[in-house]
Amino acid sequence: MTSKMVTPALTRRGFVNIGGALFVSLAIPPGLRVKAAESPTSLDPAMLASWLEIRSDNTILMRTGRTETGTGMSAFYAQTAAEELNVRPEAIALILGDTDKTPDGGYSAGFLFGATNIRKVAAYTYQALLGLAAAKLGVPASGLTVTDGVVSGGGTSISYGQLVQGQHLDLKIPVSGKPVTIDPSQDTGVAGLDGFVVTGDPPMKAMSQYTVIGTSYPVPGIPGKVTGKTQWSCDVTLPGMLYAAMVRPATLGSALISAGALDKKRFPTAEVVKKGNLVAVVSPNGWEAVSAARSVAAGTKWTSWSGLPGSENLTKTLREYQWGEPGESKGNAADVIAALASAPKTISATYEQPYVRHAPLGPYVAVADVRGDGSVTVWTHSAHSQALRAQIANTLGTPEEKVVVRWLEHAGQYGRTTFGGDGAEGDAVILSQLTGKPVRVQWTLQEDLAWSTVSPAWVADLKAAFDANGRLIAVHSASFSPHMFDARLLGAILAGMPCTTSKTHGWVATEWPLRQDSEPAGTGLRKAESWRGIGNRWAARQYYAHAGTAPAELRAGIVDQRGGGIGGRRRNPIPHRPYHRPAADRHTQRHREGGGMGTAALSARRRAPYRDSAGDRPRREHHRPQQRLLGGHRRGRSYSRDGRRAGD
Amino acid sequence: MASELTLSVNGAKHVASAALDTPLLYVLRNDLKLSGPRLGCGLAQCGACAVLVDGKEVRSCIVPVSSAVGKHVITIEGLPAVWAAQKGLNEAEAASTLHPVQQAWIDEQVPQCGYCQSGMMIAAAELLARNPNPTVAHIKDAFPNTPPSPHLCRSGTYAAIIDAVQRAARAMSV
Repeated sequence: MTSKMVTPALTRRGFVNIGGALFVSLAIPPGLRVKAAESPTSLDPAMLASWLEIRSDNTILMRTGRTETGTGMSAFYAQTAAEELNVRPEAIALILGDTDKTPDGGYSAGFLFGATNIRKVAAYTYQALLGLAAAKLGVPASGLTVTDGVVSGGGTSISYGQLVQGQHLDLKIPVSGKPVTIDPSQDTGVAGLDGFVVTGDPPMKAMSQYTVIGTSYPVPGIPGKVTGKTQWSCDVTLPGMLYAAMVRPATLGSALISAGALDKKRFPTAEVVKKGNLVAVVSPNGWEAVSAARSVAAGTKWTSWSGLPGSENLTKTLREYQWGEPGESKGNAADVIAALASAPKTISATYEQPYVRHAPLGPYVAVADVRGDGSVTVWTHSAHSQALRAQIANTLGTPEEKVVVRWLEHAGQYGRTTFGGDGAEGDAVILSQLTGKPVRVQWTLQEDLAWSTVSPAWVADLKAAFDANGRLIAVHSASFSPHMFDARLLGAILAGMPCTTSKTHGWVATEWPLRQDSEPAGTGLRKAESWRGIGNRWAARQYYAHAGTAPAELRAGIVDQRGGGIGGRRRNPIPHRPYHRPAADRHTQRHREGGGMGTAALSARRRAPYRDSAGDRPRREHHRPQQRLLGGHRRGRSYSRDGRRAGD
Repeated sequence: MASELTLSVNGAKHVASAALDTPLLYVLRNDLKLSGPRLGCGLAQCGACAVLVDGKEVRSCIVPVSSAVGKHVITIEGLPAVWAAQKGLNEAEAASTLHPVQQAWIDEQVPQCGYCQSGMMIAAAELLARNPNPTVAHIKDAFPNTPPSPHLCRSGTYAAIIDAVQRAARAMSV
């Protein structure tokens, strides 16, 4: 029920014009509604209470579908909201990743992007609170100040808790986007991975006004982890739960011939469960499940299969793939090819990388409870609970409304669960459905290293042309790679149940030719990126080697990998240092003075470090030869002085 | 076949029914509901499952539970009591005091994901028990070399761990 508009303080900044209505309801809220048509089980992202609740005790509950990935995000989210609300981060509690308790906010990677929703919601809320306080105190919003959640003006003050006491701040949050859905047309097999995005342009603090971000705020979850009180995803137990250990096929393409016999005398509580090529041993006793599975595995027969090329033939296989036209192409290829053909000096190189496993310290684990009434609850550590929910519903043929995914912490996954698939969840829901009991599936590390998704292998062919003056005039990079990650649920594949599309059709070839004669030497390197920037790094390094030194522009730190520019020049440019090829050291086993240069771009951070080494000690005594590491770095701000310590 | 085993864990007696070859880790986690030690590699090669048995670090993922009978097992949940006993703290003080290693891990904000840190703290507690004032070189040597195998952290918290061990050493020397 709308009772009061607080738009006057808002319209001057224009953010009401994006379509969101801002109002305060004095009625008791009906509770968090489910917007069935668009977001089957996640909270309605257009409702403020789905994101943020201010309580009468001055505490704040913040919700996000994103999760802690082991990088301190949980602290950063609290700091982000606290900054815009002008409260202490300690006042903010977070609910992360549970599909029935949070809005769909996309996958948990890229903090700055992921925090935007929270930041905007907090900023909208702050303006609403100012409007409430202005009415309550009889002071224009422009005459109010807020410190630690207490609004002051006109000689009096009131806390946020007092402002909302007995009423409900019913603020409509403008959003765009759609929830995750299964979509075979996507390379990942799922659409809507970004979830809902909070739109509009609410007034937000400038970095110069920050009082929370950049200060000390210890990660709230650390005391629990240090004392053993944190409940991790591997700690979930349910009444009647079975422990499951998987018996995996002999090879990726093997089919089950027969499962090995189970010695019931040795393993009296264990049972073999099969569906298609999915084979497991379950038991109420965890160790009995593991040891029985080992015994069963020894007698299980699989068809032979040799569909993989082998590591020694990986590159050859990638090159023989019929790639067709590049999936991505930038620049004028014909112009670059002509420059390469006519240049007085050209160089070329090929880089290859095998598949790389993400290899967390803790292997996959999941608990699932699939009930006779069709309800499904899964406990996970996935980085995308909503996408996982969609995948599970698709596999089980269950409406998404029936599936709840609960998130808990686990070992850092390094991005491999971004698409919500992969992991033990598929095994767990299928086994729970088959047994009629809650099932906990714990992968072994060996299993994880063999069956989890990977970063793809790639090959990259690079060519560069120099003019008669040694200036780099053209770079051509071509990369070939299977698509990033495979989001399918392994359990679904093995059991022959529905799963998202295979991505074998989504292999990627890129061609990024560069020709920028008009740009100063060196800066033209910045657009010579191909897969993971290998083209840029190679070109910069080769340019350095060819010219004998880094050009002034590079030494001034202005090179950028993705065209955005780091901005500004070093006040004291890096001095000229001759380049030395590492191969020269192999004979003497001694270091020589010199320098090197590389670039790196991570999320919104862009760096162009310049490494300078000197010394002549044997390598075995000197593991870190660089004496100076200088760099250009896009200006930013450290989120927390505490979070900066770990991993330095 | 399961046997009745009496274990001393974190100063308390527990009776568990388990096959003699059951790894200690499974009994600690599944029967005694102690979540501090965790499964990592399952091969004694990462340290996530480390606990103290009679003051020595062992990898509970491979040590059979039968080998712990008659010995004192300490997990991170039991570290505060170890320190309280060592310092003769009264009940009220003990209830509000962490082991200096744990406090240092908080103060230095060591954990990233934290999955490995139980084992790291166990290794630190063992190191400080035999060397109250370790140098950086001692610490660097202890974590990869002294325990059964290196303690691994995929988040790369090693520098923070060195700081935390030194902080704990200072606190324990007061």
